[in-house]
Amino acid sequence: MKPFHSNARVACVRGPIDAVSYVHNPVDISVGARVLFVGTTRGSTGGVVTHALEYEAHEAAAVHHLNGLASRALNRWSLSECVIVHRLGRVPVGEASVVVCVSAGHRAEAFAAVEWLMERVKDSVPIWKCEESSDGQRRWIHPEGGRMTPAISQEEWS
Amino acid sequence: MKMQDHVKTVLKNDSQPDLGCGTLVVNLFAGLAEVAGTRQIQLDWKSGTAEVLRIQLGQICPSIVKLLSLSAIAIEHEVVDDTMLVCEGAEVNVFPPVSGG
Repeated sequence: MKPFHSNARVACVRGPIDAVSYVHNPVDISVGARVLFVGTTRGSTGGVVTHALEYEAHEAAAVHHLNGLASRALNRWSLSECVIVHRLGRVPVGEASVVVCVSAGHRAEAFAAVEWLMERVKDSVPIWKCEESSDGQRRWIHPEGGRMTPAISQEEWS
Repeated sequence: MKMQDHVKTVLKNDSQPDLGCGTLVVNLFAGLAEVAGTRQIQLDWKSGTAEVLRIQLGQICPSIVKLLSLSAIAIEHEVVDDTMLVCEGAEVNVFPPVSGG
């Protein structure tokens, strides 16, 4: 299998994420844009009040797939750096569940990479969320578009 | 959930049971584990395709059939095609539709 890109940094964590800590001055002077995305627990979805989200993962597989995504984004948009951090366990409303930070030469590549990465984090990494509503009801979210598919071929990698 | 007698369920996910010959431990996640009432299903297995495994899992645990049909079967980290052979002793994970982010 193709090795992961050396500038990919990914992790699953069980406590609060300090998003800003992932934005630091790049060593690479070709960097002209850094985009930081922070996904947080929303307080309501479709009129239902959410108390918290609880995330579960196959952690080793999730890290493996996050590494694969970061490596593909680094190659596709010639990024200098790509960080993906996903929180697992209970995430109260307003707190960060996922952070993506990329560094690129220009903002167009950086925004495009973050948008693509977030779409893939949602549909191709073995992480699941359970919505806990204010009345204590719990509901696992298994969207129709979330079925994982066999790995892409080596040719499609870069 | 009512399990057939020859199927043993293991509730703990953090320790693999001592496996004899011809067994397969299948790990379930999130809503799939909730519907099944267990995080692991252990079944008698020699060798067969992922599709055959899917059918057997549905027979052992009918409550998961609907969600199982939407789920992906993975050997360790990688999702496999339904035509792929699953060998005994493999780490088999059934991933229901994902919802990270």
